[in-house]
Amino acid sequence: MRSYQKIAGIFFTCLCFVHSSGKAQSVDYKAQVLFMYNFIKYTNWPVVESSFTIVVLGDSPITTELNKLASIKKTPDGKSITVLQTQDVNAITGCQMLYVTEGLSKEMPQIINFIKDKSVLIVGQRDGLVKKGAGINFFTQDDDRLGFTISLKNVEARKIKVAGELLRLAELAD
Amino acid sequence: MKYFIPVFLIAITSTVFAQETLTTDSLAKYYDMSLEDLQKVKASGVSSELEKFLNSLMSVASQKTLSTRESPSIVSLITEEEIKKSGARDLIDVFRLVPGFDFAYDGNGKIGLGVRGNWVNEGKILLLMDGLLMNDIFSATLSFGNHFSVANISRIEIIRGPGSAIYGGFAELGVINIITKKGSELKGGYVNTTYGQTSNAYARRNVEFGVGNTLKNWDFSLTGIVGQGNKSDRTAIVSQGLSGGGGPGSAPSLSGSYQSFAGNSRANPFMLNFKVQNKGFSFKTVLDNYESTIHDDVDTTTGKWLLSRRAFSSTSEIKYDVKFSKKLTLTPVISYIRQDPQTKNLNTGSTYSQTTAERMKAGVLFIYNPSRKINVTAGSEFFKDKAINKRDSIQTTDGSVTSISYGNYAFFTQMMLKHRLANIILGARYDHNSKYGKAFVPRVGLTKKIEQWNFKLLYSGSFRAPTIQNIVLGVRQVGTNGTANNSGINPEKTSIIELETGYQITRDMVVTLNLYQSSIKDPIIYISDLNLYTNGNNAGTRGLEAQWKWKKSWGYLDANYSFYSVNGLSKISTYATRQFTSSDAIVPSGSQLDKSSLLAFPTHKATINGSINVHKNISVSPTIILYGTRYGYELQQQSQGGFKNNIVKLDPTLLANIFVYWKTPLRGLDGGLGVSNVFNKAYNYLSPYFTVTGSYPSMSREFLFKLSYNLNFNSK
Repeated sequence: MRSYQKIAGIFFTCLCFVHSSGKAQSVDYKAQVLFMYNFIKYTNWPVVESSFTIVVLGDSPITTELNKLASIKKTPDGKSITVLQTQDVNAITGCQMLYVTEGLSKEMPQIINFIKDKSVLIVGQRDGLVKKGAGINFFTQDDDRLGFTISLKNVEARKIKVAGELLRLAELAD
Repeated sequence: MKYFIPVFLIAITSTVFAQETLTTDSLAKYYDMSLEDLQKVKASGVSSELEKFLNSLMSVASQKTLSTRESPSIVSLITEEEIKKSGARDLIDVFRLVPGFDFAYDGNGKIGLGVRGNWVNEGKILLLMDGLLMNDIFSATLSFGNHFSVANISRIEIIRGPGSAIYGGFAELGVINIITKKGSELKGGYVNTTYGQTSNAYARRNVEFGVGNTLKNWDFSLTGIVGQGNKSDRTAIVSQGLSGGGGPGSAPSLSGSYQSFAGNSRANPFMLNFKVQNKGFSFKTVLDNYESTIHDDVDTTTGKWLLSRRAFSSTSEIKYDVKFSKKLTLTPVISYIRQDPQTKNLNTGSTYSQTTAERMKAGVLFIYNPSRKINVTAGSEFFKDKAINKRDSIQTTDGSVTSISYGNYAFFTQMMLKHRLANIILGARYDHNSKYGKAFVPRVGLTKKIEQWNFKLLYSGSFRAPTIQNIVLGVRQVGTNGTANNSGINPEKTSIIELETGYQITRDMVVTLNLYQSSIKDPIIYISDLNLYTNGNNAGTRGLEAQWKWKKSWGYLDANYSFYSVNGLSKISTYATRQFTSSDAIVPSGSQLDKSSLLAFPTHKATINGSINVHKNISVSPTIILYGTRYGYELQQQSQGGFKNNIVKLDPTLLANIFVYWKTPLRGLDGGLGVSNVFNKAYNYLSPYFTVTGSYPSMSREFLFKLSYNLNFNSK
């Protein structure tokens, strides 16, 4: 029994030792940004602004990746993309797309209350956020492919139209 | 033992990693990806070689496809690439590398499987080939050693723990599902030749072959193996039975002789595997006529073994997936197994049938996925086993009968809920056996993957009714003087709890550690010197398994360590490390040599195997297996003449293989050269229970040559 404990101890020590030795499989925000860019391409907003604004609610590495997108890409109708980041729900103004990070997904009731019926496509990082009022949420499939759920009810309530090409790839919530 | 841990440490701390970066141009192209390609994008980015492996979907643990890290069992996945590059000669080479798996000697020339220190070869592990039962239904045993083809394997999915809640009976302590190549994978044919030679004799000369393709919606394949081989080439003492008592407190005297196994230990494979599929319909059949020498009677004129056994088994299954909607599938299944083993007199060439066994089975499987997060599986099945002896009646411990038959119906269900906090699995199986009544086994599991970490907490029960052979030779109780008190035998019941944690250190490296404890109530055990089965007291083992895997574009390295102990747990006398004497066939008088260990299987085992691509077409694959101290019975010659079967402590052993694989410039032609048992160790397969037949010698150093030609019908 003592050798049993000894070996288990050594194994966990090894585990701790190698803990910081490299990056492993985790969330790839570049992939989420790729999907969000396609959401922009295959979605129509009723209100045309001079630039397309994405707000990231919460602290997340996705802001850096979105800024990379904004620096090299424009929307299909030629508008530049602006990325803002905030921790404050009350600071979400003048955006077409709102990315709600996992950490602030519990703020959804306040977000919905603040945005009211404005044409903002809410994209949730957390699976199941469409049930709380988001238009789209990401999820990871069993084989690690990135998937997304769309709630047409939530999207169309904000007068946003999603093209059929995108819907064909989506899991429909309603 | 002392060198196990340093080797494991060196392996586990060797860390190399690389980060991929994208330039602005390539990033712009990335964002212009087509919608079609978008569907293939991974949530964690471009998968490394290891991540492709970890994200492989497998269904053996739950009927629903899940990744290895989320499957609700302790699982192992072995790929075609690993088998091919390692130069594995047969399934012994493949399964020896699985944590907790090892081989032992079952008597009569049969090499069988042990898992986590338990002897499981008799009905405690389920071997499936494309879902078809490969266990001998007469006794539920398996026979390894140049038997199954390895060239036709696409992958092997293994549960290193219980699977009875879904699979029933034989899945008590493990499930192995060998998935062979489909027509869509073959799209042509292959011929694979293997030749193995030792200094004493040829070890094997096999031809493996396959052909398959797709035609409209049809997918068909035919694969197989035919050949000749030997299980050993060494000389060993063989027992020819008791010659007298050994006196109080000493081992029985045996008559025996030294005998060469070279050319005298047949392992001749013959197996065909045909499968055809069209949308939801599938038909599969496996024919097996494996011939192996029976190490029982010696021909007095030639000095060689007199008899061999041919399996002569066929297994077929038809099933059809009726899809009522995307969410609901109903699958009726019918299967038929017939096993008509033949015994052959190697001197005269004449053959005769042994008892014939057959199983007819029908069932229906219902799979309902109301959402991505919920899976409900339910099913029912009925099978009937029947054994007859065409020449004679069947002699049982209860008298003479013309046939033995029993039926078993079962209902099982399982619900899987993928909740944000954890995946929850609840399942249960109810069996009703016409001879042994009802049984209920539950299953509960929690699995969770949190970024680099994964966790599993699993509990499962198992139930196994006695097989035909258990009924024939079963007694409820054996007296201390070796007499059978009552006919009949009880089913055995098992419960197992398991805990696993895994951590993906880098994109290319992962470690896992699992702990387990199994408890078997009324285990069915074999009393070899009386040739009877009976129920023992409680049994079971506890221990841990650790595995480290590093997979890169240059190849892979895999190291694992397995440990079990029975210290403080109930043990069965005939499995314990103690000396049996002539006067105590059932109740041994000697003290245990090691209270933590059981016979045959070392408490410590470590393996290291890998494959390094030294050139784009050449890989070198070394395999090292380190066995800790083992205990078992060995026949030893006495100075005053005659032989005695003494329990011995065998020092740690290191077995090593190496194989060089070469993909030649000629299209479709590849092969390799290898050496198995590089250090020519005199390793013996030990008996996991008390026996007067001693151990079985393994093959000495073997030089291996493989050549394979693959023809692709679609290439121009």
